[in-house]
Amino acid sequence: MDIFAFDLLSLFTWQNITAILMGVLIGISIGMMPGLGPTVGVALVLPVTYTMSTVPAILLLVALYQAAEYGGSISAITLGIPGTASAVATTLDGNPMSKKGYPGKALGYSLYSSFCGGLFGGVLLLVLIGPLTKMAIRFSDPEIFLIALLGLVSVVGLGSKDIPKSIISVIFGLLLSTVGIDVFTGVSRFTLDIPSLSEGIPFVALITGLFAVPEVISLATGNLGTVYVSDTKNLRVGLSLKEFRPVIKTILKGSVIGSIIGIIPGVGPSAATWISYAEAKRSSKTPEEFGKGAPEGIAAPESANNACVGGALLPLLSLGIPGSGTIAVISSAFIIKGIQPGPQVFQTQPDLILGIIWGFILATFVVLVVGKYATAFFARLLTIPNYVLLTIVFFAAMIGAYGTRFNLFDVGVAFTIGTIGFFLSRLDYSFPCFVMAFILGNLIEVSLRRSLMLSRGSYAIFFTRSYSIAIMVIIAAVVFFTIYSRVKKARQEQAA
Amino acid sequence: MKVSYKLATVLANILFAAAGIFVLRMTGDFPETFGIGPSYFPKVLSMLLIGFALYSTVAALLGEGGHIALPRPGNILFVILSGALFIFLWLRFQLFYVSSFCVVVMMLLFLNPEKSIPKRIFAALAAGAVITLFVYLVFGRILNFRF
Repeated sequence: MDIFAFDLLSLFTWQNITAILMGVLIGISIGMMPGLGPTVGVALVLPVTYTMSTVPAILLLVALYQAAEYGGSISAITLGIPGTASAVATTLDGNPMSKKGYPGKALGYSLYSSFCGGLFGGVLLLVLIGPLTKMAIRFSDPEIFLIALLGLVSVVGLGSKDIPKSIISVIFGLLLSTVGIDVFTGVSRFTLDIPSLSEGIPFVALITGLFAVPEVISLATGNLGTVYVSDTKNLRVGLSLKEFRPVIKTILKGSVIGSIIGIIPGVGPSAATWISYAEAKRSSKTPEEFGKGAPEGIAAPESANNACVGGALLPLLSLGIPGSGTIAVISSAFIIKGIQPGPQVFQTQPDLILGIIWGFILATFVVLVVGKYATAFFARLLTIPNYVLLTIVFFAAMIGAYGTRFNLFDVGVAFTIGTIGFFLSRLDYSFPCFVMAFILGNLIEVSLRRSLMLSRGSYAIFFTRSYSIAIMVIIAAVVFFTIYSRVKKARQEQAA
Repeated sequence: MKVSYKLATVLANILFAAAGIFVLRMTGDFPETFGIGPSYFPKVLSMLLIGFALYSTVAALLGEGGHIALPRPGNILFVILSGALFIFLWLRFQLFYVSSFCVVVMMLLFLNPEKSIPKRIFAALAAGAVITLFVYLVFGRILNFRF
């Protein structure tokens, strides 16, 4: 379908606009709170989408994700405490510029770079969704299985600290996804005679519990009386064209780096910001200024982390593979609506996917406007002490877990999984790997079993089709790269 | 509080392996169809889980030690117990708003680092009332949640 054939006016409904606006407001608020991040934000808001139509529901979440990436830079610049993991690089130059007496300018560089990066990611998404979907639509069950496997292999290989533990997280996620009635035979699996488990483990409860409860407990281990900021004056975001012009090239490079890294499952915006920052420093005429408040040092990571969001949506919308933990949570909003994201959705409901992409682009403009005029207001949220914040997040998570099915069992699931998750996260078991596996579990099992049924149990079906072979080669390359980089790192550590 | 990373990893892996064994045993009761029935996928996964849990255990035992820091263990325990109490009260008495208010006030009272007790009580009651009212208005009235 022609991407320009979409009726843009249909996007401007009050539901969509409200969803985007709410997503941006919540996203900036959550993004700037140290300790919380886009994944926690999306997980907390997810239950609210249950009562909404599909397009506004997804727009709420993607706008939140996009805005949280900017929000993270507010505390990074004004306090030197990054609100999100992907805002750490921004702290290096954002905070020194703020300390020099130019917090508004530093926020301006962050906001305009975030806007350009987000827009670039959105446009790239719009341009690539068609060709990628056209290719993906030719995929059959063996290819779907292998693509999903590629997503999991990438997340384990490229995004984890401890590979065996990440693999355990993936396997455990896949195993939990098998709980409930088997779609092929109707056999009840691992339900322990609990009726609430017949439809499987409630994933909204699982996600809200897994991401919010460990954060709540972590906040309780820190300084509970911390009030991050009390002075919100002098935070007027502003930048002249003359000041902006020198960073345009850096923004463009950051946007390209962020988009490409976003597309690769498992790498994520944090890596994109550091690569973009390093590239900006390498190619700068004044690299000695980096770390002292260089505008390029703010523009590079901020454009990259926002471009990453659009890039990360591409594998989800075209192939059905969430590329990161946050995108995995967003993909569960599709599942709530009874839609399995993937190429079929673009073929059968192009308006839905194009509406989401155009809405995502619209959200970047809303982030720009809200960020420009309301950053000082948002900074007041940093005056909420941690002990109040953790209480609010805890109750929001519990209500969220309850809200999808109005079942107290789900609250218990969220709380139990979250508590166990807190301890497992300390041991480097990977949440993103677990969540991605849990969400992709059904797709993987169905496509694997269908493939094997077609081939009468022969695994050759995965090696004898041209697309399958190509995907297998990519999987092998990712595995090889992972092993190679680990061996190289170990050797470097030994040499040091 | 510090916990041995090695010991905690071994314990966690034992639990994962136990989960794998439990699943493997349960799959024995499922009906089979051409070898790719409902037990096929969980069986493969449980075997992989046991294998990787053992591998991770060996890797942890052979690797470097270290500790995981769990600062303020009292607070961790308090938050977990508060959560459990909240669910218990809600389940037992079916009074969501009353349970919420009680647990919110309890959490705010205990976790507030302010030294003056009257100030803490006042702040907890005020914030508890505001949070509960907010939940009632947004979730109970606007979003029509049936608590």
